[in-house]
Amino acid sequence: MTSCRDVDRLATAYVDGELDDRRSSAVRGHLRVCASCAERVEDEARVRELAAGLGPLDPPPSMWRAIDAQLAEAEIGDSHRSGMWILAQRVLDVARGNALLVGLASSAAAVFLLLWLPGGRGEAPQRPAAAIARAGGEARPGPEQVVAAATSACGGARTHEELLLCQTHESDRRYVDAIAELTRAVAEERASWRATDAARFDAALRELDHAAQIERVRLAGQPPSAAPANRDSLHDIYRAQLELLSSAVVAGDLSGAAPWRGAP
Amino acid sequence: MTRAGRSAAIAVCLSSASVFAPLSPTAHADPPAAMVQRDVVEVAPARGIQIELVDIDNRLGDVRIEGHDRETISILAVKRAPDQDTMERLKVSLVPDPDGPVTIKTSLKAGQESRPIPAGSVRIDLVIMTPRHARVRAQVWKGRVGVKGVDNGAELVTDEGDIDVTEVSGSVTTQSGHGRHTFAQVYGAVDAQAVDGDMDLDLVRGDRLAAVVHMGDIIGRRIRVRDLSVRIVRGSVRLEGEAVAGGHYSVASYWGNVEVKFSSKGPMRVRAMARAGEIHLPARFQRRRMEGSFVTGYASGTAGIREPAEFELRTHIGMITLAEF
Repeated sequence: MTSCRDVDRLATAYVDGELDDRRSSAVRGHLRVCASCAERVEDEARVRELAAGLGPLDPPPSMWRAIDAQLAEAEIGDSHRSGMWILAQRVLDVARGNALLVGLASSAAAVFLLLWLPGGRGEAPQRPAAAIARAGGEARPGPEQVVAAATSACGGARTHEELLLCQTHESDRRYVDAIAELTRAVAEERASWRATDAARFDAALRELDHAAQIERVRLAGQPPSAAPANRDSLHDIYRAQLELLSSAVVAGDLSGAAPWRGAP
Repeated sequence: MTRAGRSAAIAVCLSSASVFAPLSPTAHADPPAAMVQRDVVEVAPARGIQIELVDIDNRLGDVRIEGHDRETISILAVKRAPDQDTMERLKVSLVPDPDGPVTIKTSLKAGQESRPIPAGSVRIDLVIMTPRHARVRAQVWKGRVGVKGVDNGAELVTDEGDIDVTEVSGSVTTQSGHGRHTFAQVYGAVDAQAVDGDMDLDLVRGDRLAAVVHMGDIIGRRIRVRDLSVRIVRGSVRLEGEAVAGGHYSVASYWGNVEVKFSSKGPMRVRAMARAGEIHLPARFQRRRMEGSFVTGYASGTAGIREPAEFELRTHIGMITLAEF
């Protein structure tokens, strides 16, 4: 039986026509009897329609330069890696195509970690240590660098309108990337949650997703010159999503999963 | 005085102020391609009326707010534009509200012709002196926002830019997409949220300090609050301060170190959880270990017999250190 959760998961593929006939029929059947899912899918379809109506947007030359610079940086980084690391990456590349090998490698890694984690030998693991070094400012870019990067991403804009449009996309992307990162983390964490907590969390997150979607549809029809002020509601929703996700993932606190009542 | 009468009084004052508004009309310091104009406006409320809230919306540049001991609001607007026509489209408006707040809003009005404005060529920066007792609210887009010397708190929002809060009493809320938040000598509840950006806190005292950062570090010194909640997804926390008896202190990072150094006149109860990393606690705390499938490090302990200050320290990948001084 197709549930609301199934439809939520399949909505994008359904709207894009990527489901096979049987699944598509099951989703359609559910939409006939569930008004909220029907509304959600309709919103999704409207977003697609509006997006399809938008003209092509040429990325500014500076964006390609930034991508080139990042690629170059990554390649230079790779050139500094040890032969062992490169060999390990090659093994991983092969393993990605072989599920059995991945399973075996994971088991081996788990055994290794159990022997090696604090208490095993009384030392912090290497990977966290490297991460912490980055967090301490050695490798992670400082805010100034990121500001410069963000600014340069819009450096190719020629007019005030183009600049606002680019800045708006940059701003949205920052929130969306952070939300995506936390959503991935939630997927890893939720195994330890109680079913009732998880259900409440999912419901709260779904409401926020829905609110964001409606807001994006509304904004799609706005001129770019009005972008900054019109973005406030969407960013309020994004911040609420971040708050909900980070509270659950970082602090293990699911009590904030309450229905979205709009921005204060 | 009735609400309507009061707003009317403010409205009259604002209107009369705007008549003599441009004290320093125009200054051509920069090359002709970048005209700069400085306007100074002073707003005085009618006798017996206090300005309770100053609400600023400037999506075209920076905002700096300073409290002063007078009942007036003075606004210095520095406008930049590529030519005179565009300069005339840059507006700073004052709007009195029936509820009492004074709203200051900047805008780029639509021009008569559709000639595009070059990117980055228009800007309005505001410096506002406000009565200390007025609450301050400011929203900017790509710019800095700072407040200093006010006694009734502030709400500051920027999409990209630094936020600076100095010598402020009352509840403070800050939000940014990207940028550094700096708090110095803040006496009141603090609620700060950033997607990318570090936070620096020095001498924060009040009921509550809540800080949430997605990517960035948080460093705090001389913190004394009853309820502390600090969360980072990617980044480390280092806090020093004083714990209050019965206070609750929750510090967590998903990917980074948690380093807390607090003094406490009373007992402390500590729960520390690190999924992959070490936990360092003072020797006087009892320590035990929980070998669950998710928690690889766990320590708890209580010292003292009075109402304890409760610490909850977490990291998924990182190191936890609690020290006393």
